[in-house]
Amino acid sequence: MEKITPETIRHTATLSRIILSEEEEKGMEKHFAALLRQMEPLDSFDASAVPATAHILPAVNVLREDRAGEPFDREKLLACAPERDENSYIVPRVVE
Amino acid sequence: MTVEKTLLEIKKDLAEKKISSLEATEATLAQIEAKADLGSYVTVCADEARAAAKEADARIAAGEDLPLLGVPVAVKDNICTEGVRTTCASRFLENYVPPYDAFVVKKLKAAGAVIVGKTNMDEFAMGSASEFSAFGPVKNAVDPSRVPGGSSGGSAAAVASFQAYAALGSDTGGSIRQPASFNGVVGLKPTYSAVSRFGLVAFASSLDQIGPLARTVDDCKYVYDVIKGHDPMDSTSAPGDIDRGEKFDSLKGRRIGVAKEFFPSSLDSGIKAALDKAIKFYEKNGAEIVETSIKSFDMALACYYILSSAEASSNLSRYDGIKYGRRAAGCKSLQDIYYKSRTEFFGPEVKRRIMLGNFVLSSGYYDAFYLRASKARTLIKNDFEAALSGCDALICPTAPTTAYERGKQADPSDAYLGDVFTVPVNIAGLPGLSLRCGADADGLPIGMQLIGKAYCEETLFSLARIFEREAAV
Amino acid sequence: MSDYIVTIGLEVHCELKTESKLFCSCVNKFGGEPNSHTCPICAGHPGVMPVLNKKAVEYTVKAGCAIGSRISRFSKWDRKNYFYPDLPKAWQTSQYDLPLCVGGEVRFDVGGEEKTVRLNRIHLEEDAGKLVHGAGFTAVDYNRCGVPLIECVTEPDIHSADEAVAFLEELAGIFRYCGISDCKMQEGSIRADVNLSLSRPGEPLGTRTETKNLNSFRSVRRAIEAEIARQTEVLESGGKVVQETRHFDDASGTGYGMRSKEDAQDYRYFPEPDLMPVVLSDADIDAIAASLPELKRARRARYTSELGLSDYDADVLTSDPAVADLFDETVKLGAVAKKAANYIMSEIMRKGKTEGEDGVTVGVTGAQLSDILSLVEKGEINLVASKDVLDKIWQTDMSASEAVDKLGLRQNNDAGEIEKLVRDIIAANPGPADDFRKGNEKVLSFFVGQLMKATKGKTNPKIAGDLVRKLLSE
Ligand SMILES: [Mg+2]
Ligand SMILES: [Zn+2]
Repeated sequence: MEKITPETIRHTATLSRIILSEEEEKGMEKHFAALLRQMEPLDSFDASAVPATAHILPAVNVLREDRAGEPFDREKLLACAPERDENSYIVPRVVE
Repeated sequence: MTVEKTLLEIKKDLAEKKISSLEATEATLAQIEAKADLGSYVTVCADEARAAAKEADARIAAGEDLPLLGVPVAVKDNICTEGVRTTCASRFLENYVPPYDAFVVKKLKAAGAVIVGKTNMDEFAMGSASEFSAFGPVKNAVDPSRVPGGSSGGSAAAVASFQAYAALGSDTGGSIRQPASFNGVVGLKPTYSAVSRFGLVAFASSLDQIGPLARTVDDCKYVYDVIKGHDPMDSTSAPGDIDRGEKFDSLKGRRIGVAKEFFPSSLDSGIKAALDKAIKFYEKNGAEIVETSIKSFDMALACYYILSSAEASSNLSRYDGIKYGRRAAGCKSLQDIYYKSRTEFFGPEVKRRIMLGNFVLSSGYYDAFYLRASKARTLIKNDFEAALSGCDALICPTAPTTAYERGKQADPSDAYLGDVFTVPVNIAGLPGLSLRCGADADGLPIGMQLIGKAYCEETLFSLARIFEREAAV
Repeated sequence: MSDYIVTIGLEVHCELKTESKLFCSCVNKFGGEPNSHTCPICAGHPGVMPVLNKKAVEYTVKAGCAIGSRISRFSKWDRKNYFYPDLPKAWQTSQYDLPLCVGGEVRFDVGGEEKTVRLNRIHLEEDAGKLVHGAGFTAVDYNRCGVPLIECVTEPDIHSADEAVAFLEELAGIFRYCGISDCKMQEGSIRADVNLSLSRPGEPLGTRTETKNLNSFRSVRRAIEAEIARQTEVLESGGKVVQETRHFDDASGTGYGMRSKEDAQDYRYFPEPDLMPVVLSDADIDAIAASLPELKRARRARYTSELGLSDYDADVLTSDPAVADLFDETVKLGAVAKKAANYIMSEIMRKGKTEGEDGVTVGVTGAQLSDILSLVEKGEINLVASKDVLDKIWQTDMSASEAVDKLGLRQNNDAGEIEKLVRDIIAANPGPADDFRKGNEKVLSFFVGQLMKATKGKTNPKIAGDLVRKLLSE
């Protein structure tokens, strides 16, 4: 399978929003390499002949009627926030 | 002693007013304190439990009868409880108090249960030894120098050491069955969709399932009957009456499958001997033993780690330090919040899984990993269907080892091998039950796993009940 | 500049006007205090799960039927993963490879010519929240999180700002007619992303840029014009256009590129495990298609060809589906098309237009309006009085005749009685009467005015005018 490079690890860390120290980066590279070896059995079948399973269940059309319910107490949600004002979640100014 | 009774025994005592719920709850809380060294609980809700017990006593006095009225039980700390913090054993959520109850918690409360606390686990249910907890590791109830298994190690140890009459766990790749096996209790991973996941903090949504752990088969079934059923808030919850299993007392005419892949030549001899004995028991008592095969078995572990990590990487992206949970100190920008909070508050195993998940989904790798694993899932599911079409259940070891020493966990990638017999069941979405079937040379419990057809939990309970009653292990 | 061919593709997002959000039962309503329309589900709390809104699926299929898409018999849900504070789960639930609607086209007129833009797809997804930037901080409001949104992706068939705007107007009109979206620009319920590239004739398409989140047709036009100018300048000075995501600043009228992040495009789509697929039968689709109303373009054509209205009148009447419905209903009840059209355009649309809002509030039914028109026609009231009637019955179910009686407006058509009144007025005004006899026709209206004043407008103006002339000439 694939060869894991330090660049791959760094890119994946960015996608994950995780900072890895140099040492952690090396550890992760080794871990990935070991895991990829364990994934070799997956190469043993012809993938073009097999459909993918996203859902183990046969159910389809699980829908709800379009009805608005009782409003939820906003305070219960905002109370969980690390930083808030009267009615909003607060983060440092976002620059686009 | 009060705490050592089974759930059904204490239930009867409560109904007959031989004991009050407050007494049973106090006894359980005292036992929790006595066993605090095991680290089974993240949060003990003593005040809430006492209040619930008093209410239960009033209702019992008023002649009410509910399935779990007044019975002290425990809930794994990745199942949301309104007003009681739900941490998933993570620093990230150490201060998170959910604004709502999970479906199963509502079910427990509606059945009158007294929730005594939230059990310890591997952080976000990622692990097989309950050593990856931000609140300290859990110890095995049989031998505290050993791991209790994981990730529902707290629930299993709590039940095994009488700190609750039953507990809820969650199982994504063996997290109920393997700790049940390591602590010598009964654990059921129900059919995917049989129990609502609404309020279960998602690890891998297509594999996760909530289930009960208890000290006897009947206790386990009793709790399962309380928590199962349709939930309109979970789109994957099975509608209607789902039970397709059979209740029976005799093994005559029953067929039990033995798939050779679950008995590799490398299998520990003690475990193999215990399983052989169990198979002989079933055969001797009238069941037919059928040899069968799961050809795709070798792919299951890889398939599991790809799919579960992919889903986890997405499910755990919501922990961003904005809406709930912790935020790292001194964040000057939005990116600071993301990077610093996630780096500081996720443990190493969680980071490994998020990284792996993002890797297998990232552009250029998706087809080779995620898509291929989704296809392997089809093969595994088909193989189980074929194997189970010829029998009532498959029998196999729950884990390739018994409880190993704490702190001795090998390389993280090798540690995943411990899940080899449990993950295929989650991939196929089938019910699996783990039950003690013997002990190894050190006296540590050995677990056997019964794997059933979809929605045939009752069949597994029947097979397990007969074994529990008559096999004398 | 004319050396370049402009190629534009649009991604248009329209909010569907369902009662509740796409995956939870929070109300789908514009405005409200920040986070007042949120719950653990749309705020992305741990453990929550989505359940799909049936109406949102129906509305999406309706949109597809209206533009001739192929409706998918099987469609599914996918997660589009990215971090941003307006996205509490850190993924948008959307449709990736199996959208609800595939293909379709929109026809419209631009510069007097008919033009067709093909659609690639329409899919259903959830909206994100809103960020409000303050001094040193940003406040996050999740009210809009989880509001159902359809994303309509065009083929690169558009070649100018005019075409882009005309297409958007037509598309918005179609969705308003279908009753699936208000397409209100002020409320951000229709927004567009512009993909634009320049190329020389005969050469392959150039590198394109994507300008995101333009929330008015005016900014779509300005952003396109600015981007054409910018890319032209880059190319003319020998540079290369960089593929990037851009923002357009309405205040300054300029676009700017976003700092490109390494993971900007890696959304790591994968099937949403918490939602089951949608499977539609032919019967399901036929039923939705059958519920489609006659759309704007067809109605406009019918108004000119069958009802003989001018292009202008037909345009005005079809600008809002509620107005067109009123017109059709009124005509169906016997009103003369041209008279109904005039009355609607002058009175109803004036009265129903609210400052700063798109669309018109139609406060009467076709039955009420045809009643008014027939009262005017029969001379029971005059046009001036009809406005009082309109005020009285507006947004009530009172009939026009009842209002006329309540207001005491019924007109005097009795020639004998009117003659008596006119004689009195002529006698009281000898001066102006003389002026008429000397040939000053203008005083006629003075006498009619005096009569109306005396009778509070309740005199048949036709009879009155005739009598004034006749009696003055005696
Ligand atoms: Mg979109
Ligand atoms: Zn909501």
